[in-house]
Amino acid sequence: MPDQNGTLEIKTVEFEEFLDILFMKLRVLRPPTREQEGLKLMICSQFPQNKEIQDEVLVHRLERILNDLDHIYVNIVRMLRHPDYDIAHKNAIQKLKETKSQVNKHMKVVGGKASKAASPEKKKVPEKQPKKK
Amino acid sequence: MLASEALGINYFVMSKAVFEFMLQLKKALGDRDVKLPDVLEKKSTTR
Repeated sequence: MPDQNGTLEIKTVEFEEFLDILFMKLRVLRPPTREQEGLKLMICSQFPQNKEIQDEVLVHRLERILNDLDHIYVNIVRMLRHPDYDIAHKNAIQKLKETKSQVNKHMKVVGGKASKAASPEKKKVPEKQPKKK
Repeated sequence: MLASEALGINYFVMSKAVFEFMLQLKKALGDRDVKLPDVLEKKSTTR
C-alpha cells in the first residue's frame, strides 16, 4: 500500500543472497541449479535490462505464493503427476521468457522515446521564399 | 480468486524441486514462527 506521500515501498532481495540467507537462517536447501530458472521466473522482477533490479526477488510476491500454497497444494501435486507435465512446464517457461523479453523491448522503446523527448531533434525545414510579384 | 492468481503466476513453471523448496520454506517459517520479510532483513540477529 502506498504511504501518505504516495510512495510505494517494494521489498526486494538479490536472488543469490536470498538463497544464502534462507540456508543460513532457516537451513532451507537451495533447489538444484538447473531448476533455479523456474523459481527465478516465478518470483523475480521482470526487468532484465535494468541491471540494478535484475534477479531481485519480490518478497511480497513470494509471500503471497507461500500463503496460497495450502490452497493450491493438491492442484500442484496433480499437475506434477500429469503425463503432459514436461511439455506444459517447458511451454510455461518459454512463455514467461517471451513475456520478459517483450517487457524488456517495451521498456527500451519507452526509454528511447523518453530520451528523445528530453533532447528533441530539430528538423531542418526549408524556409519559404517570398513570392515575387 | 487467490492472491497469487491475481498476480498472474503460472504454476506450471514450478518444477518438483521448486515445489519442494517452497514447502520446505513454508514449514521452516511456520516452525520458527517468523515472517519472510523479517528473515530477509539484511541485519543478522545474533544472540
